[in-house]
Amino acid sequence: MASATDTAELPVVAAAATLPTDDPHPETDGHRWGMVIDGDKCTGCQACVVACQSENNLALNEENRVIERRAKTWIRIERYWEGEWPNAKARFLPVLCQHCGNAPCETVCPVWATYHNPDGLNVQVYNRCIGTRFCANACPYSVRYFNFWEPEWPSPMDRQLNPDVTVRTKGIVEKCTFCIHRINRTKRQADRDGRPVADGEVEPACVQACPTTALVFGDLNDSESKVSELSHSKRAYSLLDALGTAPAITYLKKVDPSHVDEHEEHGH
Amino acid sequence: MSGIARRRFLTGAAALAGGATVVACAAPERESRVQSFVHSPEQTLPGQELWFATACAHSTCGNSVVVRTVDGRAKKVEGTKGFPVNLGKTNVRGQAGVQSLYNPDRLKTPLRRRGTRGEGRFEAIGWPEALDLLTENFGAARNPLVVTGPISGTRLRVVAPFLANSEGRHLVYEAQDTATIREAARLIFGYPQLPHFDIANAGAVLSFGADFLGTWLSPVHYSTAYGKFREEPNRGRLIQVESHMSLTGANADRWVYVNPGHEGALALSIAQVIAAENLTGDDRWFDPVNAVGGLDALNAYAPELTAARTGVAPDTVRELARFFATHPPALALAGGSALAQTNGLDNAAAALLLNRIVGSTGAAGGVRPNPAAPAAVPGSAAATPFNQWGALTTALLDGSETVDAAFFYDVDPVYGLPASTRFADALGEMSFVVGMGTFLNETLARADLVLPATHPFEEWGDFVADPAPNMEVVGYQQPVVTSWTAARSFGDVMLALTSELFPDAPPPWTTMRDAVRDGARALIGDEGFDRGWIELLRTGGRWQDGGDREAQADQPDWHINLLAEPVFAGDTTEFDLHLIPFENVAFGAGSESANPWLQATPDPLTTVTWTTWAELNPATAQRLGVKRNDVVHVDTPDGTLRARVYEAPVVPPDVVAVPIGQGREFGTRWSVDRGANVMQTLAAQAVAGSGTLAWGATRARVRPAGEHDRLPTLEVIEDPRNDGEAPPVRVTSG
Repeated sequence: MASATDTAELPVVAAAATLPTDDPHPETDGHRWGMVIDGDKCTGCQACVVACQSENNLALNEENRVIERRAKTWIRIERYWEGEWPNAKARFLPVLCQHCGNAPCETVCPVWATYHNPDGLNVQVYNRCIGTRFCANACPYSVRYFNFWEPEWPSPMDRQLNPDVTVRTKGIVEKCTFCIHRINRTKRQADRDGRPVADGEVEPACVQACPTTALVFGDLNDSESKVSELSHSKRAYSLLDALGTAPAITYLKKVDPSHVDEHEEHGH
Repeated sequence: MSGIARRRFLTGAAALAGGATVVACAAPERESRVQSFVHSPEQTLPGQELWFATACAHSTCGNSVVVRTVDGRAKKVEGTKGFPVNLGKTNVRGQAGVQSLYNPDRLKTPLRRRGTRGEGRFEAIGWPEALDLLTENFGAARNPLVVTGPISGTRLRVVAPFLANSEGRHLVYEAQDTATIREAARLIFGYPQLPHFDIANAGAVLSFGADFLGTWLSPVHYSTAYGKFREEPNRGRLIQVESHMSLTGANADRWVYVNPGHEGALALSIAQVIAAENLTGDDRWFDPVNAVGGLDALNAYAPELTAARTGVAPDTVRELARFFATHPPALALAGGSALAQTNGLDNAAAALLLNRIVGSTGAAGGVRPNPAAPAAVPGSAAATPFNQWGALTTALLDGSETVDAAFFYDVDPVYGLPASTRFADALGEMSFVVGMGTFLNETLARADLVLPATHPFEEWGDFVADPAPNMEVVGYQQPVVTSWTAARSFGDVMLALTSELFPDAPPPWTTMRDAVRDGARALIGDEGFDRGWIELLRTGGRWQDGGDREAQADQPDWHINLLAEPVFAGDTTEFDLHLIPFENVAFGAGSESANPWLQATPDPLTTVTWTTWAELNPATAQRLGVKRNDVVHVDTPDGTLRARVYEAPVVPPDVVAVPIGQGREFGTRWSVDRGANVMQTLAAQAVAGSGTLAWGATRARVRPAGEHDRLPTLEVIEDPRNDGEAPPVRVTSG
């Protein structure tokens, strides 16, 4: 059992990594993991959604959970209608934890269960979480999920559980980790081999599954990485950019070919 | 060794050695569990992962996957890197494979029927008793039937000895119709195999209803191709023409509505503009146009003359034609409800003809011939067309044909054929019915004997990719875990049955593994076979550019005059809407509803989960006096179903669209008594020329049921009519 002294020390240890700074991406010697989501390639096929559930031991989203808005999907595909018949269109937007540089969820947690780690990840420490749900309320992207029930996997479904990922219990908040267990495993392997982590070597489950390669993951501190290159695309934008959350995820706008054709016709 | 018993010492030493090994190879010590090696299976190290390449389905998948196993349990599915069909990628169904494997409601033991057929009451029996029942009933059977899906490779070869000895018939039930597009490709290009549609290298794709990103033929392969297709600087353009927006339509640069059944007329209209305006800049269109009837025949499809039928304005047709002809290489595809009409074959032929008109055949970015399957591993069995199922049903019901014994494997025709076909009744006329599958379904529930089949991750097998990705591809399947049930593989059961019934002419193999190895040996030769076999299993299969390819026919074997008007079941005054059933990414034709992950996977366009819905245009819903979440009856001339309304602005005003996949009476706790089966309400009409089910040719009316039941959707609607649901997250686009 932790002593009173241990508990008292906890905030001090965590605060060093949690205190907001003017710079959402302070320079570090390590990695700054980020993702690019290309709206022109994402088809909304849901492969990333099920890949994430499989990799990260997400509980079954039974029908009632969906109706009650209690379903947990660390990555979800939002679909937006544009226009009216016969000119209506559908648009898809994958939304997951943005791993913000200025994360609103981090500053409101009273027990430092969520903090920014040195690799730029917004991390949730399940053992610390006491379930206030302040973080879920503060998150403008609605990507933090509270466990209202104990997760259940009717036997033998529990055999499919990934031993690398903690099963979250009732009363705590969970969310996308950028598959931190895959990141750590790759880093350990690279350390053992005495080499840096190669670009593209870390693939979160969603990125690995995406059949159109709409999702790209990598180190934003590596200016040569594909994710760095893509994040400077003319089509790049951030979700809810005006809030200043400095997300680690960059979206690329869907190409509107009518605009392109217009440019082509005018000789641009 | 004082104070420590010898047995305890050995156990502890083994555990410590294991711990040391684990630390040296992978995870740090604190992440390892110290376990005894005494009972570990071969290759298994406690806590260490092993990846096995295998297949994700019994028959039609075409994709190779790798399954991560830890301590003998399957954990995660990913695509096999380098495998040319899916290139390391998967779709939702592939990802959900582990949950089918460990589904607690799988068939676990053989079952013998206790109640009446269709009641679903069974008693568990052992395999010896089940095999006795099999041999007893098939031994004396005349006209035995074996009914499977479109199996290929060794599965096909292990059935052959039984059929040859018993003079039985093999019927192939194809839940997802490919016969029409196969026949259209044969007519237009002369290709005996499904061709390779080279989306990755196309400059423009004009798709007539082919949902290649969702459910059409080989969607994972086409999705990987689409990723390349969209890459700058030569980003390809996609135009989708269809009667109900599919996932592919939702991703198109331009989406055009066409009246159901008139896709062929629109394709010929586009062809007419290309020819009349000489949009290809040369006379390449002349020969194919001449071969199918000439410009005079084509002129009957000038845009102004077809606009009333197709619902597409003449100016739009001209834009499509100019776009298609001036963005080479241009690729035309056909699928979905365009082919599920009484004139579906001719719709497909007219659409594919566009490829010949612009010269997009045999080269990158166009339609390319695929090689034939190698002799040692035969390609997919040809599907038995719908009209033959109808003929068999009629013959069984009027007594002109008898079937003493039938063996159904991994198929569910009772679910997929319209109720008006009366196939369930015909099944009752068969003297002895055996059903084999992973889960109970509507067909198996009517069997006298039910056999539990191994999951694809528990069995040996191979498959031929069809369509192939412009090369010969044979995939290999190996068991990645030991089954937790008493299931056996179809191949092993067929071989055991044949050996037992025909001891004088036994099959050349005793197990499916032997048969698969035998096929592989014929493929790679005796020399270095052991090494080659391991390599096949490691890489997921063998692929090569060679193989026999049929040259393109000189001219299309089709004529414009063959394109008839579509025929719909249901009077337009009584049934004012077109009923368009559709497959979604999770369920396909309905085989995956047992899986809770797939049940909970939102339909990409509507975000609905777990149930059946009826899609209506908001204006249509208003006219009918219904709104989102209202329960309605969807009536057809041959049946009715209940569903909840989903209003969407992309749904055409004269269409009601209903997804396939729910409405099961038998299955798992996640699939039974959920939604409705739209296939049961369809009229029994066939596609002329291919004989497949014209599942898009039924009309319907929608009636309010006076009930309200909230749809389980991911999206939240900001609409005061919808029970005060919370507003959605707002997203800016920067």
